[in-house]
Amino acid sequence: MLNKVSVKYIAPLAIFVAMAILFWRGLSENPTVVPSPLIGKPVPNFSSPSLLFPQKNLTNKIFLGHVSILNVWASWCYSCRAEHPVLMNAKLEDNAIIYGLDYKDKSQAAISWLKKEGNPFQSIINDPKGQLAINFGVYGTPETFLIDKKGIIRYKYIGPISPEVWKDDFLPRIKTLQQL
Amino acid sequence: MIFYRELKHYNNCKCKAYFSILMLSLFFFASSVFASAKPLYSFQTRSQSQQFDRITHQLRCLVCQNENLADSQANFASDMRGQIYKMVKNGFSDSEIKNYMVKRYGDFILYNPPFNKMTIFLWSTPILLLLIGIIIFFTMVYRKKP
Repeated sequence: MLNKVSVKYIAPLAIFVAMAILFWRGLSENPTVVPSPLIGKPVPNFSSPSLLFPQKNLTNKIFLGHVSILNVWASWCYSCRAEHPVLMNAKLEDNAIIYGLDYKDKSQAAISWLKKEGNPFQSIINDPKGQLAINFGVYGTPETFLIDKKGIIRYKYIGPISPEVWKDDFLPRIKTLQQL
Repeated sequence: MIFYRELKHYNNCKCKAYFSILMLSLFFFASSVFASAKPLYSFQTRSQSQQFDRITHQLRCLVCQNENLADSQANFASDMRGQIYKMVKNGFSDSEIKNYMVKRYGDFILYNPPFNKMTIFLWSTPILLLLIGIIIFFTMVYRKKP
């Protein structure tokens, strides 16, 4: 039934539709987001001092046994302030276990910042030189990792977390991982 | 226009002097383009220095994503350069350093995409399209018309 004439008419339309779909999908994505190769891999080994209790040493063992969030932030990072209420809410309302990675920051400035804005973190890893952040593939702040009970990185979000992103991207994943 | 006026009175000594000063200052301003604010890393051997240059030109800045690590002024780029400097001084090879970066940041940190089964279309499509275009051209030109 498909004769030569109708193919000549349908082919350009089909090609156009295919391209339109490709463009629709491609242009709606953020091109500057770099996908992380660490998804599915265990958290890199580390041993760093805690920001608030410098005598205390934090290692990757802190992530074992529960679903955790690791939030890379700094007191100088403007967008981190924007997502801060979302993290506070996540801790209070959803009982989320959130660890912080204080990235290339001055300890005093970070501690004052937390005193002023509130502290959503169970513990904060102090990374003043950004050395640990390199192992996590961090290239800007804020970046947030979702880590399962075995310490495997399951999801990474780049940019400040809005309430919608928390509700739609993080909560469902957290619930799934909690049941594993 | 100003140059025409300068040239017309070039024989005049005073204007010759002004002209020379003008050209010299333009030259110096122009050559300041080559100055950069980057700290200079020092190496023990020339091959290490070359390795550093080579690698920083082959990796991408993830903040200014169209630039390589050698040229980018972003903080991320200077952090990466510092890390690469440490690794070069400790004797890591090109592939070891690049693998270190790819393991943490993914293939995108390579300025030139690698050639593997994921990127085979990225590399081959331009050549393929060119070949298809040439074939179409010749079939159109040499088709016998009734």
